[in-house]
Amino acid sequence: MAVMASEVVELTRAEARAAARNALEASGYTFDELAHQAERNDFDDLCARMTWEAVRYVGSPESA
Amino acid sequence: MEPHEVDEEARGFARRLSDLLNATVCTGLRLTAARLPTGYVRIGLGINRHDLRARPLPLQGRVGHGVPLYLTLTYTLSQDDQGEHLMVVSSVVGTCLDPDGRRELFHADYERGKANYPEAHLQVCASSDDWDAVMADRDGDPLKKLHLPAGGRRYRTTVEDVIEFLVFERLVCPHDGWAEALGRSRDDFAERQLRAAVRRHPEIARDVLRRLPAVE
Repeated sequence: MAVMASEVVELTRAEARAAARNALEASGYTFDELAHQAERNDFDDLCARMTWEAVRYVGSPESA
Repeated sequence: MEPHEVDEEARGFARRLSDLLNATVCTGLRLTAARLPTGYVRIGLGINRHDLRARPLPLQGRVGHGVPLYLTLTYTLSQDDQGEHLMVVSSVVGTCLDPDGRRELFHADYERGKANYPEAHLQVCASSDDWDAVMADRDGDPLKKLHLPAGGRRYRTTVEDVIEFLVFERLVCPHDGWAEALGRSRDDFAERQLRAAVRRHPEIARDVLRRLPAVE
């Protein structure tokens, strides 16, 4: 099966925040909840861990 | 690195991973990458301009008629200290039974520079009476809360290791030629790790080369 080449998209600050917000909404967690779990080295489940990975390098979508 | 150089390396990273997966335990998948304004690059299935989550990958060819199995896979890259290449700053490779990652079996986690537990570690969702007895003295947490050391930075558990585990333990039926594809990918990873180690410790590399017979 032919597979298209992998792509790289460049996100603006606003797009990154929106994308992080979408990831959080889909997971049901807030940024602060995940940050707290990360601080305690204790994620609820793999979904939480994967979502933290998605948003940690962006920061809270709600922050200035 | 210039942005186009970052994109080129990220694209290559995603392509190599996609090729490995499609040659072993997945079919027709294409991993994508997103470059963040902070300089980090996220890589995984389904990552795009609108969502930074990496989706679990459905594994093909489950043995018998067992429950569906998914491979969770995500990497975050940034430039190395010399600003010459991308390096993995964190990754998660594991398995779960659902497309959301809420029914986990295990995962190998890597967080570069993480304090208070091994930066490369395994977490296994399992239990036994013996572990329960031990953990009763530690707040009664289940085994999955423990971070079992897994090789350290250079020799951490890789996606190749997890794929090999799934095949060897007869949890998936791989594509023909899977072992060769896995071997090539593993050799590539080992070479990249070796090159990174040489860049970080050139005096050791020079010393080793000095002691070797001259190569024509």
